[in-house]
Amino acid sequence: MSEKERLLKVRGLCKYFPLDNKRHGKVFKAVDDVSFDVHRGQTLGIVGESGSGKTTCARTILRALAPTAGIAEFTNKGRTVELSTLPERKLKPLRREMQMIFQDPFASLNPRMTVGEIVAEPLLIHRIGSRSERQDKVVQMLERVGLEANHRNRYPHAFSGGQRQRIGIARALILRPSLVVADEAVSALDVSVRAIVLDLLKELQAEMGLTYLFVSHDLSVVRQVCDYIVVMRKARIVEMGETEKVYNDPQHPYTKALLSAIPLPDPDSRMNPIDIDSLDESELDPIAYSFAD
Amino acid sequence: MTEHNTQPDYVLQVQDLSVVFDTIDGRTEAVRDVSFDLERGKTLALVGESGSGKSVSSFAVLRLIQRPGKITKGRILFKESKDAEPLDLAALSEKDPRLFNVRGGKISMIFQEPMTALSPVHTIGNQLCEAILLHVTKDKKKAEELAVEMMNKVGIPEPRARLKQYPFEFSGGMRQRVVIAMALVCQPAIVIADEPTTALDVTVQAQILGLINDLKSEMNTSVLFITHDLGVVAQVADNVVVMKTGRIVERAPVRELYHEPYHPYTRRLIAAVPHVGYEKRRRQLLEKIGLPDGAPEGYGFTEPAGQHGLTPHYHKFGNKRELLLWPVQQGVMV
Repeated sequence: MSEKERLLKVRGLCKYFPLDNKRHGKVFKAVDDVSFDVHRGQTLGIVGESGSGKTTCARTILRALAPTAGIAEFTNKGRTVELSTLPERKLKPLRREMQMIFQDPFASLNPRMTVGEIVAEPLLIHRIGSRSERQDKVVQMLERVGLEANHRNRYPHAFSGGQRQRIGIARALILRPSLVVADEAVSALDVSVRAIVLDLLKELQAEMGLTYLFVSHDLSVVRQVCDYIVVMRKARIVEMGETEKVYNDPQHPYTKALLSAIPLPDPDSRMNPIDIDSLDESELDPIAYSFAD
Repeated sequence: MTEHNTQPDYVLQVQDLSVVFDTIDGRTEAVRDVSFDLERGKTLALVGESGSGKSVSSFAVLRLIQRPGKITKGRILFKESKDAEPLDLAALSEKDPRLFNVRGGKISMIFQEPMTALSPVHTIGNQLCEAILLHVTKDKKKAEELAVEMMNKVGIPEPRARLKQYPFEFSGGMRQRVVIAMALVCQPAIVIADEPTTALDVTVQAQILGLINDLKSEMNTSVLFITHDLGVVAQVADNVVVMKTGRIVERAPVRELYHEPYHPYTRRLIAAVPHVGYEKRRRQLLEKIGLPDGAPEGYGFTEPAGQHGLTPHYHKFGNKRELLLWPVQQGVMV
C-alpha cells in the first residue's frame, strides 16, 4: 500500500480528558496511541462500539479537539502540514480541505436557516465567490446530491431524514474538500434510504476524488464502503487491515466477537455471539503494528 | 392440558384495521385494511421502512393513536387467556377502565430509545415500582421485592443498589434492560417491542435479542416485534408481516419468507441486510422475478397507476402465506 499517495499520517495520537480533580492528575484516555495511514481516494473505516473512542479520534485528527500527544500529518496540494501543533490561525484555511458530515440530520442543520443559506455558509466563511457565483454553486451542488434548485428556499423541517442528509453532504462538499470525515453519516437513516445515501457517497467519491474517514459502529455498513478498516476498543486500535481481509479472517478476539454478533439474515442458523466479557483482558491486547516511518 | 386443540390460540387478532391522519394537506391513510394474528407464546415481526405503518399499527393496538390520527375501521381482538372472551380494543371508549388495565398491564411496550423512554429525574426503582404499584400490588415493600427480582432476571448486577440510581448512571444496554424489566414486570400477555435494539451496538444487540427470546419462553409472553432489520427478524420471529405504505404486502412464517420471498419489496428488504458473505444471495434476491406458482392470472405486484378505487386482492398460498396483488389493467404488462 506504499505506492499510493498518503493523504493522512497519524502516529501515536492521544487524547486524554482530565477527570474531575485535576490536582490528582487523573485522566480518562479517550484515544490512546493511535497510528494509521489514509491514502488518497481511499475510504478508511473506524469501527468500534460506543465509547471506544472512534469519534474522538476523528475529531482529534481534524483538530476539532486539541490532541494530548502524537502527530497527524496532512499532505495535500503538494505540501505536508502537521495538524496537531498548527496554530489556529493557520488551521482555518486548511479547513476548506477537510470537511465533516454529521450523524444526526435533524440536529446538524440550523432550523432557522434556509437550505440555500446552509449550503452556502462554508463559501461565505471562506469568502469564496460573489453572491451570484455562490448561488450558482449552491444550485449545482444541490442538484448533484439529488435535490432540486428550488429546494434552496425551503427550511430543513420540510425535508425527510434522507433528504436532510443530502443537504449535509452538499454543505460538506461545496468547498471541494480532499478529506471528508463522515461520523455515523447513515446511522440515523432507514435501511433503504441508507443504501441510497451510501451509493451517493460512493459516486461523489469517484467523481471528486474524495478521501473518506468513515466512522461507524455498524459493521455491515463499514464493510460496504470501506477499503481499509481500523477496529477500536477502549481507546486503542486492536486490529487493522484491508476490509475483506479483516472480515474474512479476523485476527483479534475482539474483532471476532464483534463480527459474530451481526444477526444472520437466515432463520435456520441462529447466531452464536462470542461474549466479550468472558474473554480475559490479557488476551485482548492490541495487535502491534509497526510503520516504516 | 389433555385436550389437544388444533385451532390456533391467538392472543391478538387485528382485522381490517385502518388508521388515518387528517391534516391541513388532506387525509393520510397511514394504515390500510391491515390484518394479522399473533399466536400465544410466539413472536410476530412487523417489518417495513419508516412510513410503512408498522409503528402506527402497533400503537393502534394500545389505542395510543393521538389526534389528528384516528382508527376508522377494524377490530383489535385481545384474548388474555386461552379461554377468555375476546375483547375488542378498538371498540372501547377512551375512558374505559378495561383499556387502562390492558395498557402497560396486559399489553406492554419496549421502546426504541432507552434514554427517552426513561425519566431522567426519577430513580430506576421509582420507575419500575410505578408500573407494579399501578397494576400488580399496592404494597410498596412487595413492589420493591418484585422490582429487584425482575432486575435480576434481565441480568442487571447488584439490583438492590442500582434501584436507587438514575438512568444516566446506566449504559445504553443496561438502560434497555431496565426498559425490558419495566415492560415485563406485570407479566403481560403481549409485549410490543418497537425497534428495541436499533440504538444499540451489535454486541449489545445480540445480548438483548437473546434476553428477549429467553424471557419470552420463560414467561410465555407473546411478542409483537417491530423492526426494519431483516437480520434481526430472522433471529427472533416465528411469523413475519411485511408492510409498505400502510398495507401488508406479504405475510408468511419466517422460514418460508426467507427461503423464498415472493414480493419484490420483501426481496429488496432482505437484500438490504449487508451481512458478511452474503453477496451471492443478495444478487439472487435483486433479480427480477415474476409471480410465484399458483398466483391467479390477471394480477400483478404493483398498483396500476392512475386507477383509483381499485381493491387489491390478498392471495393465499397454503394456510399461512399471503401476498398482496393488484388487478392488472387490460393490455398492460407488469
